[in-house]
Amino acid sequence: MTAQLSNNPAADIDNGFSFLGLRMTRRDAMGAALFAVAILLLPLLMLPFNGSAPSTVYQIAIFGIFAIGFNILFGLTGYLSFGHAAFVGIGSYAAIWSLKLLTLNIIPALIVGPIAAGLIALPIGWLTLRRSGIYFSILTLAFSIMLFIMAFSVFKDITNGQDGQRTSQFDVRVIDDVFGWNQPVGKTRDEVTAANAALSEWNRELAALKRTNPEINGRPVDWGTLNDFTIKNMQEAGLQISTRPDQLARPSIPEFFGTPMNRGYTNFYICAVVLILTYIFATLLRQSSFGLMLLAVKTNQTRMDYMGLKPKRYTLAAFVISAMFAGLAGALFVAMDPNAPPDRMEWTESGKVVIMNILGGMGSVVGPFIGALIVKYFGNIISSIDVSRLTHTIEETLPFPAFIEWPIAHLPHLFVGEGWELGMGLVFMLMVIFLPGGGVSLWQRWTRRTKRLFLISFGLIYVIYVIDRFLLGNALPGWTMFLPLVAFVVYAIARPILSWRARQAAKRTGGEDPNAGDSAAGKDPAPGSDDSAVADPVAVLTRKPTDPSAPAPASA
Amino acid sequence: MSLLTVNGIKKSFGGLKALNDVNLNVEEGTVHAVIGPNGAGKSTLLHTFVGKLKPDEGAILFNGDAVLGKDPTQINQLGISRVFQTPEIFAELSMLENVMIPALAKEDGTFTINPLGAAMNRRSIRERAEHALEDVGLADKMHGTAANQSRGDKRRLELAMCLVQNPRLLLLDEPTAGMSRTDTNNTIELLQKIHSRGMTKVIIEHDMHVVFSLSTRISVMAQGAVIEEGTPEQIKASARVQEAYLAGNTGEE
Ligand SMILES: Nc1ncnc2c1ncn2[C@@H]1O[C@H](COP(=O)(O)OP(=O)(O)O)[C@@H](O)[C@H]1O
Ligand SMILES: [Mg+2]
Repeated sequence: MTAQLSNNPAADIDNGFSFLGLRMTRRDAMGAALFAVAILLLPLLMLPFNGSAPSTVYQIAIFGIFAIGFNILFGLTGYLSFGHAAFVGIGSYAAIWSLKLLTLNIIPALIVGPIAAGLIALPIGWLTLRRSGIYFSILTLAFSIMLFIMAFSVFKDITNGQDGQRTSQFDVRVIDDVFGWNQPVGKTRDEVTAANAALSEWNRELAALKRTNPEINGRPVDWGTLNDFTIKNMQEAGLQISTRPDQLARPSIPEFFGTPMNRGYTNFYICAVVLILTYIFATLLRQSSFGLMLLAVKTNQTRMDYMGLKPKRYTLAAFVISAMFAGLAGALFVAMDPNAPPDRMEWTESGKVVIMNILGGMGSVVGPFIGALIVKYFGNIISSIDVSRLTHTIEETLPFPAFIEWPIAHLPHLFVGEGWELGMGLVFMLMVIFLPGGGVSLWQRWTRRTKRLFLISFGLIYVIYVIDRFLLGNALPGWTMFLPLVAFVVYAIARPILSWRARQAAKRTGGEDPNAGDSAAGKDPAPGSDDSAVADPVAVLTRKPTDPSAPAPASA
Repeated sequence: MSLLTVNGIKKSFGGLKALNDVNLNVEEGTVHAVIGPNGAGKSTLLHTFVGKLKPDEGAILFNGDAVLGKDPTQINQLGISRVFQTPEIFAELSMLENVMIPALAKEDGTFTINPLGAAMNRRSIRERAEHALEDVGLADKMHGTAANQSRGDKRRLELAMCLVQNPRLLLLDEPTAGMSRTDTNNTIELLQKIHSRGMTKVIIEHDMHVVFSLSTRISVMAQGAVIEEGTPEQIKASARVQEAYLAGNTGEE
């Protein structure tokens, strides 16, 4: 048995690390390490792409968490939910109330968010998972729209409707008061207590006055605009109200044990750590017995019935786990920017995470993150293109009469700028038709040489960027950096076409295929089969669980 | 002792009486073959044992427990495993994973996965799955994807998936259908090997050579009813069966 195993390319199943019965193979551990380094360096790596602002990179990280969590349901069990954005919203609202009622410290918020999402996902999953396929998708969509509408109506007091719920310095914040956290700066504890007591005394006075339904000049008092000026007016009208005591300004920015979330890259690094932990969790889960059961659900539920298993238990668990990651993403959004708007729950947001999973490649752990990166980054870039200027330029340069020029010049309006979602949809459609496995499968299709060329041309971007910035003083126009990548794309598209034509020509003349040795189609190595983990680091990340040449799940 | 008792099962599809008052006793430790011409109702009978079909009338007792009214999952948990006429496997997964899934299902007595416990037992689970694959002669293919295997290997894989659960009763629906002569003989050998463990089996088979090599008891079905039952010698000698079905095709000539 052992001898047989060591002859197998999958022999490394018996190497690796084990903790609490959870195992990680060497390849997976290397993949996780590589991923962690790339994420921690993300702000640097995004520099040439003009995408390293803290808010850009933390959004990429949060969407990455959402997408990787979503993949636990979609990628492993094959159940396509169109309603997961609702759980992002629920996580957001739960987290904002933790920030308002408990403490500005983000840790309780990050715990409360996923728990709330998971609790609500449990009955929804129990109901929707009675159906599969398109019926399941429609049911989840219906539930998410229902929750979205409820956020505006029944739960308006919790969600504050369209404006969204925010933190404010007047929030109660029990834990903060008990431990003396996030109190007004430069005051002693006794001063704060006294000021708070005076304020609550005044509030009681105000409430007593409200109960009398007082009027000024025959009109009821407008309690909505209560400030020093209106209070003075009330006093002059003879109402029983004293001057509002001085409020001590308390902070309202979420913080992590003293570091506020709006300082430098703190927010990004918190998200990055959570993202890396999410990645490791997803890797461990896929290698576990539970992950194997999820794959079994995707492949053949009938067989599971006849071997004493109840598939629904696993799908429900996967549903709740993925909803909890959605809730975690929602909580992180709020922790980074203390505002919970309802748009986060909209069904288009649910669609976006599906697009991220499919673009990046579902089934693998890193694929959904790559999808999130692409959608978030290109979404920002394409939507910020100035279409009017583009239109103008086209009209200037083209020599045609206006009635021909106009439609050409206005075509980009549909796909860039405000219409970027249509552009994204177009890319998505092309992708699903021509590359159903997503970005990850594109990588797996390439020959080793193509992979190497890709990495080189990608690396050249950084080389040009560094030279330009530190030696030439930003003399080069921005687009020059991307020339190597453009050259690579042209090569990657042209090469299979050229080799295909060469093969056709050879077939016609009856000769040997001149390109047989290294054509893209001819010598396409199965992923991971000849690429050792060291030689091809990205294969480590992109390996799919059902990959025949991949190591079987490890034993403990 | 009778392990499986079938009493007066009836099942009709529209006007067609696929099962018309079937009675059957399967003794513990026997290999009980059910033979009969195509369309006699053999597969339908097996479907009622595992909860795939609900009979219109009758009762089925397994080891004293009522089988009817239970769903396939619960019936499997009683100790009945079945191999389908067309293999039901996890096509996208590796052979080893295919067998690990039923092994995991059985390991935890409640047929639920205790995440931590299941992870702890992973090595023993995997060893059991490897043994089951070795038993059916698939040890060298265990890392291959199930979908890429030959039809015969898929059947053997499904058999391994049942064996790893060590059921009290194993149901086989035409285990050699569509197999070459060599493959058929290999399967006979394999099933004989398994028999030495004393697992009770019900085999539906077309090939008389297989039936007479394996079975200790035979029921003959025709048009939805059992027309004869006995030892292989009795069946071979029975004029009625000869006439109705075997017609000189004893498989031992
Ligand atoms: N689901 C079904 N619906 C209608 N008729 C069926 C169904 N299953 C089986 N039958 C019919 O019942 C009869 C018995 O079929 P089956 O049990 O498959 O026979 P066999 O003995 O060859 O396995 C056949 O005439 C078949 O056409
Ligand atoms: Mg049949």
